[in-house]
Amino acid sequence: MLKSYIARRLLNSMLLLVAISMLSFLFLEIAPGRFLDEMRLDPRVSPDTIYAMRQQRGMNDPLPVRYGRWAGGALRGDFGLSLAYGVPVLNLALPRMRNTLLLTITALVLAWVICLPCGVWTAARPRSLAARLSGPFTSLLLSVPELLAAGILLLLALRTGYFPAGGMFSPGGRPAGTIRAVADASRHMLIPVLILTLAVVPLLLRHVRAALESASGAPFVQAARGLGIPERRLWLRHILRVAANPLISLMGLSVAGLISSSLLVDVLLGWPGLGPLFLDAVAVRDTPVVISVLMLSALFLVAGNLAADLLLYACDPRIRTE
Amino acid sequence: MISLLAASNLSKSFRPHRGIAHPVLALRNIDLSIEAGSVTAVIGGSGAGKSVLARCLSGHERPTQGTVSFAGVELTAKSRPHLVQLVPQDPAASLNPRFTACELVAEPLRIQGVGTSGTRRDRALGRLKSVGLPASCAGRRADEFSAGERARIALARALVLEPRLLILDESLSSLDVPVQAAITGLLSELKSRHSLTYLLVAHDLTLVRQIACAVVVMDAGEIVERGPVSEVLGRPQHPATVRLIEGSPRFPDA
Amino acid sequence: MRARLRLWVAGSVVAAIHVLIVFAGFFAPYDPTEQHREIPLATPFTINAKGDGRAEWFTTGWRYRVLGVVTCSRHLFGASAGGQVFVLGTDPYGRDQLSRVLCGGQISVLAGSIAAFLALLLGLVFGTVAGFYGGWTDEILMRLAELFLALPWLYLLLAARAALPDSLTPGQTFLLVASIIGATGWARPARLIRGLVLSAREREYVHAARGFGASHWYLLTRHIVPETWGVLLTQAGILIPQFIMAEVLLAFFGLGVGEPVPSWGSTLSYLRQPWLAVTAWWMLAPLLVMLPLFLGYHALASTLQQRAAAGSG
Repeated sequence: MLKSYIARRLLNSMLLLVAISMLSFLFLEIAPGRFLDEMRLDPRVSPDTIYAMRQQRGMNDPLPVRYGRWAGGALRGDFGLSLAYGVPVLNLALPRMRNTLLLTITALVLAWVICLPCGVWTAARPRSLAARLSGPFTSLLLSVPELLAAGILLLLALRTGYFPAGGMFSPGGRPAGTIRAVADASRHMLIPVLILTLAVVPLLLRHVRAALESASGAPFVQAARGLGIPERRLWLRHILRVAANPLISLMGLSVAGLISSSLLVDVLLGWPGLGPLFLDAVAVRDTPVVISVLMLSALFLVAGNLAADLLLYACDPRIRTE
Repeated sequence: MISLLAASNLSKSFRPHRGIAHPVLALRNIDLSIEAGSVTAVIGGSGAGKSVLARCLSGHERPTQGTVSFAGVELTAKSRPHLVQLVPQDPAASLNPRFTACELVAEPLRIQGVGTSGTRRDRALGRLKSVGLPASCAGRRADEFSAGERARIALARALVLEPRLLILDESLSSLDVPVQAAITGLLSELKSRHSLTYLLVAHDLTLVRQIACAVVVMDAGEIVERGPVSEVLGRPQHPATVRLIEGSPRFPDA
Repeated sequence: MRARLRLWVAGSVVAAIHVLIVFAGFFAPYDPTEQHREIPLATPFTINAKGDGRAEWFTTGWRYRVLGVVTCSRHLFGASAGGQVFVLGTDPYGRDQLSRVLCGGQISVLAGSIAAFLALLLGLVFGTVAGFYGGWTDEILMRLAELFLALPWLYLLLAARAALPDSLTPGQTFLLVASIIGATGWARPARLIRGLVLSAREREYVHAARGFGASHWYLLTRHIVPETWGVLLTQAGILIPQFIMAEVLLAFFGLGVGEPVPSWGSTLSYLRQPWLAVTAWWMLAPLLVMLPLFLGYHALASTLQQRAAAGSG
């Protein structure tokens, strides 16, 4: 049963990724203004040279052949050469992916660490001041687009000068010694992680609270309350477990939001993540890089949803018997 | 007596959800004929196939097999709405709450492309009047009416195309007793005024005794017994009929 | 009652900002592309920079078009001959920030609205077809929607932008940007509408209309699509600000309508030179209009949503 559930989810995710790869490959291939077309405008480059370059990169083959070749390579971890830099895409993308993941995972954990207790607190005491303020507060935060919030935070950071904003290390490059490098990087991480966390917290908090409130109103909770089970035990042992289902599904959602926001934060703060790489690739139409980063971002999302599904399976006995 | 509506060898099977291999047979080889001007009641336990039969005759469901003919001519999608109309199980739910009473009653005319919007309106108002609703309420929307009034609107709508046969699929059972009595009275009045024929799907034997002249008993998708009301309900032959009669509440003077 | 009040307040804020933006030419004292190279980065409320004029109400100045038709040169305020007035200061090229904010709003808001209209239209068509006809059509359309939802929207948006031509006139770019945003955003409304249609097509009154011999077109237009109006309205309240922001982001990244045409995104792009923005805070001037607009839209959408929930429940 477990195997078939996991297999089904895995298969679904794989199919989704294949479809995404086809879609992204297709719409970038049919697009005008490819990298070599820009070169064509250059009078110093002869058409023959361009033809030879296209031939060499297999760009004159029919579309399915090119997709097949690309997909085959991608499966072996070869996403092709960047048109702009001439180096394997993966060499460009992997270190940057690591940096992006560093930010997003930290922010994800932080957001949950903030939201879960706050959600429990406000749901358990709906009449308290905190609970009554949290509604309008999340609403306010929700309506401010992340670019604007990020911009304001960035400027505040710069103005006060307490924390570095920009890059991953202080000017002069990575400091010698692991400990000092980690310390420097974590100081630089503070602002971007704060921005990212702030970008997901409002939505997350609202959903967490709603999930907990609906769970705490369930008839069996009322019954348990009637039996005299202490509130603390009720919340920890019963309500949280019932609310786990929607909360886990929320995890997938929060990952999705974080990935898009991280692009922005990367670019805005000069964090050497996928964002700047992707943006530059889009600007010069470096197709292999664009596709690969798009695929990687989809991979994060699909992986996040898959992880949520598996957790759901682990937590909810009903799925096991389904 | 001439037979108005005749169904021959009517069967209907439903393909259930994926994973269940056998289709469910809801109707098996039904032969039924309804005489003009009669009131025929179809009774049976729940799941006997009464509603499916009604919906197959009215064209809401397509039978898997068999034909339905009207005065000797097979019914088509084009001709059916003008000859046979169904008043559904919950008449109130069958009215779109966004529509006004007038629009609701004129809807069949509009769908069938009868007349202009002006003549459609006049006919709708006429029908509303004949079911006892004043023209002043024609502009009110469906959700502003009471349950009984909505039943009347559904009835007016079913009659607006001037059908010959009206199928009432438990249409009265969602109403409370005094309203039901009023609608029953209205039905007999309309019957004589528009020379209608009724097919009544019912579980309330009191009502059947009161207005039906013939009765058909269904069990497990088949007709197991049929005949005049007094005969079938007085001297039931089939065990399913006996069960129905014993299971229904009887009052000394019903 | 409080919900009603909130609806009114939010609605009037949003409406007021839209009026401000639609008639930006009237409220903007300068042509947003006009450069006053002699006073770059003038501080806000720089009035009378040249020394021999005064700020005046209802002046005549640069020529603009109202709603793209009527040419006009009357402005709410401006400087008399020889003077200058920069209420929100100037940018590094000496362009009036207030005029850029107001006129830039035209591009951003219009692009966002067109994109939202397009996304809702696509969502309505696909969602209705999928929900009403079911079967294979439904399967294919919903798989496609899932595909669009499995891609982080910003990456999808930028990749789609990369797939389309670059060197275009501002007008072409504008239409392109609006349609990309709309075309990548159809999946969520389509899913919602499919769900609604799925339940709407099983309603008794739809069955009844079928019984009267109604065509699919009749059922869809008279009974089923009207059921979706409420959701479409709420979705519009959510999508318009989201898509305005999408346009802002594209322009911010230099992928939108190019300079010198102002847009909120390109006006905000000084944020990418943070030190400039720190010293000259009025580079963030678009926020003065954007924040109330987004707050207003958010309040509108959430009030509408609550109303819909209360109405159905």
